Amino acid sequence: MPRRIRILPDHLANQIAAGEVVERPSSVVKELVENALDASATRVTIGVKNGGKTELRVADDGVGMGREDALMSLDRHATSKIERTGDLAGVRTLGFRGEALPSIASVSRMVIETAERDGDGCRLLVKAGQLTSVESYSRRVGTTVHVRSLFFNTPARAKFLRSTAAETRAVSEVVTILALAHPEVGFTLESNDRVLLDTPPVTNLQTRVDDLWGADSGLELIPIASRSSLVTITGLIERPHAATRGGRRAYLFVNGRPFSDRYLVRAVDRGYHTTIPPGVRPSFFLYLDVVAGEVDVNVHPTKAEVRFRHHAGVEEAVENAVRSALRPLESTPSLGARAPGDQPGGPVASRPEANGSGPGDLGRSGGEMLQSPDQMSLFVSGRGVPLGEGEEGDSDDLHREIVRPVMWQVHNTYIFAETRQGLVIVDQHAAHERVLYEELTRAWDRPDGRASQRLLFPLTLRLTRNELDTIEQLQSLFTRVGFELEEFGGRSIIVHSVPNPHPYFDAERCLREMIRELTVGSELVDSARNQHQRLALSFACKGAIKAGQPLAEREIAELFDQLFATELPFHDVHGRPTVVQLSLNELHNRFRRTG
Amino acid sequence: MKVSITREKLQEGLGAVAGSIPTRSTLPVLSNLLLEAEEGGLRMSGTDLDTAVSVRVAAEVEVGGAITVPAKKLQEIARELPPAPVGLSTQGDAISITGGRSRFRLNGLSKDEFPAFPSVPFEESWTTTGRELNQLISHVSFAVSTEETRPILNGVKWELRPDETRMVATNGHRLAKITIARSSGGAEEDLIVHPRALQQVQKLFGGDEEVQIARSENHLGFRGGSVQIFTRLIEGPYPDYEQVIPKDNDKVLIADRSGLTGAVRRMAIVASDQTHRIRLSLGGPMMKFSVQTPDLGEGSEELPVEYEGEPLEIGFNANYLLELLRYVSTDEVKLTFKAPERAATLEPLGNEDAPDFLSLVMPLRLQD
Repeated sequence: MPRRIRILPDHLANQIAAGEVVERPSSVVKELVENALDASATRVTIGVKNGGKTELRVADDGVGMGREDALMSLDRHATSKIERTGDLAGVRTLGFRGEALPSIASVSRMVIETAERDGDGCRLLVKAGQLTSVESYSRRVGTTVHVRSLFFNTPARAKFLRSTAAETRAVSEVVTILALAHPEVGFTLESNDRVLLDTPPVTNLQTRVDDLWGADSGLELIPIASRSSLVTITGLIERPHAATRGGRRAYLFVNGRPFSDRYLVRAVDRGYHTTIPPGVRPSFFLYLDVVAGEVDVNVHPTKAEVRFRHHAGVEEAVENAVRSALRPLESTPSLGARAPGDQPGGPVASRPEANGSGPGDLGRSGGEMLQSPDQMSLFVSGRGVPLGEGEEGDSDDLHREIVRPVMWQVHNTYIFAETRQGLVIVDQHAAHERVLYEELTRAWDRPDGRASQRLLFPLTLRLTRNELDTIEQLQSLFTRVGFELEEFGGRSIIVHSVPNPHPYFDAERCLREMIRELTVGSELVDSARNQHQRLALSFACKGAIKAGQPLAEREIAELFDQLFATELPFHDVHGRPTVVQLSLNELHNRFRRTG
Repeated sequence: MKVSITREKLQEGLGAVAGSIPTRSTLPVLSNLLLEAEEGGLRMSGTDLDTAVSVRVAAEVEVGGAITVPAKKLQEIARELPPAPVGLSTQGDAISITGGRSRFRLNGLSKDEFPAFPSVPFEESWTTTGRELNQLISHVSFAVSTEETRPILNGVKWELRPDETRMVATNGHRLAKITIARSSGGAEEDLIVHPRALQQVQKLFGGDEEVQIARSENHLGFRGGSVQIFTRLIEGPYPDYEQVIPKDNDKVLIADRSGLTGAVRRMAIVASDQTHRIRLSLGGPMMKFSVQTPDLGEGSEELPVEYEGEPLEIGFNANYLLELLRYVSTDEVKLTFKAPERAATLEPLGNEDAPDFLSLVMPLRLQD
């Protein structure tokens, strides 16, 4: 009896593997560029002809291979990247399966030129996986792989290739992602001898973003940095005011490897909550660094997805990191030039070394930990009004050091305040919205709720049937906001007590507007995640100090103190800024003053 | 117009009128004051359209006439002039000011551009004294509302009765009421007056000087000595405050005013910036104060008091309590309570001469 089950010959096994790994020219480019990066290249040049269908080439200045290694590299499961099972869990290189090169070779005509030392190299010619020639070849250290006639021996696969333009786009996207992952490596992409992309090695992620998408693309990005025992996060995220509904650039990297994960994208959006209008999608470039064993990259043939051991923890870390990046003043819009030092350099995620740099190794990411800055340090010392002035018997030396900024209310709507590097303009209504929202959000968690002022003359409100239903449904929450309501019959309610968030508070109007908003809905309250938040958002919006309200100097100072005590002082609850800055730089520019 | 006046009289007149001139105004003539030279004196007037103040000072008038001049500049000049008689004379719409060796010329505006003063029939007036007015106003004007959607509560309710006069003010959270017996009769009248006008009244009338008060359809006028004040009345029905003054408060507390004030002030330090909420625990001979503010801290204090009634826990806005305590002149105060959600009253105790002052404050809800 002839045996029915047999081991596949290598070339067939490779072709099958190629079906998984090598789908189209862009996947070839991805595998080859990753090899180049794993070989410590500092410059990678990619050339495609006809979208890579006719020819593509990846050249690097990495460590190169000797003749024996080069021959071995064509064998299936031959790799320099791991040695034993234990290495797999901690793998820091982009590739490790040893499948890519033989798979690509099996479906193309391939030429490998490589040298370990300048001038002393070799050239391998491979056709459909069969080595046809090995010869000495003189080149500089590094490796160049030419792939011609991709899928020439698998015509079925070749048929599925798309138009040249589509394949070129796919190659370009792959190179873009890898260039983002490795700003410290220079990339050049040529298509039919036209340069599509040329970015030198940089130390600064923002410069890389500018190189990739054109100058000023990175202008509205701010650095993000956080560190926990689980994950270290660095990168850039978009300023809330600049985010739009479409055209999001969302890039995630873990240990230098691009991946996609819609749950983490959602975590980013959660971090932005209340700082952007609903439906807006901010761009982000996030570099996660986790210790070996926390992430499994070996779950997807093209490694497009990864699996975190503690996914919820990573999600939470991402959400919190985004939130804390939105705390500082630099997350606000600026009129013209920003102040120096306010430019988001953006930490560069450097290539993870094979020996594994864990999250403990933060210095290498080039980014300082973002300290939540002492908000008063924004403001000038030396001018302004000393705190505690006018209080009797105030001889405390401390008070002489701390000064309030000079503040000025204009059009009873905006407050100008001097800062170290220029001035900030605060929208008094937006600022107070943020104050009230956070105050109420914290109050939900407290047993005693908010103080509520009993009224001498209770208010009577007539409501519609639907509004009455809203009251019935939310009465206990209204009570916790500070509105004590009682149904009076005949569609009327009596208001016995009200919150008193500021001296100009019009309780009746606030309550009427809240009831209407909560009954018919609005963009603001519909963005809430639960009823508590719905009420908090509505109260913040309707109860805050209005634009047009003259404020006494003391009230302005109080508003500032309260605003800077919030978690996100520079964003109101609608996704609008509370603060716009105008730097001294911009003023100098405007007045043509140099220096 | 040609007038000679002492520097002191000029400064006195300007000082009296200055408060009625708005610092910012869309109507340029309002930053001017009106000078009118009449028989034996110079009349100076200023207005912000709601309130007008007019004062007459002695001067030698050679030629009568009138002009309006920038109030601020005239006041600054008068302040810096040497102590010598000042000469004022007009040429068209300009005024020249001479004093010692100094000469100034200020551009003014014609008298015709200045708003006319309301005419108020002083022949049908009530009379009172500056002292009485001061007493009334100072006890209640602090309690008006700052929130501008119910203009009624921005004003002070003034009730003139044949045998007494009463002022009441409230912002809907707390209320102050003062009544004084009044000897001179007159028609019964209810008025609502803006506290800014009452401030001018306080400043410009004092002592036992007789002040006449009269109203027209929309205005109220005060006249005493050389000063006249006119103000637009606030219209509308004032809420029925008598109805909310509790009659059945059965818990009575008597405390030392300065001790109570001190304790509330100390508690207010750690109270929330927004609500200023402090908690009072009553029952037995010691009254307990406490405050807990999340994210900040807490404080507590005890004060010996006389208390009759069931134990009670009640919360208040510390600022409201402090304001009310400030206008009590006696050494002891009496507070009454009913329940944690009902109004508390506060009144002076002990001094027969103290005015009949009653204040009440609504509590802040405490949730447990």
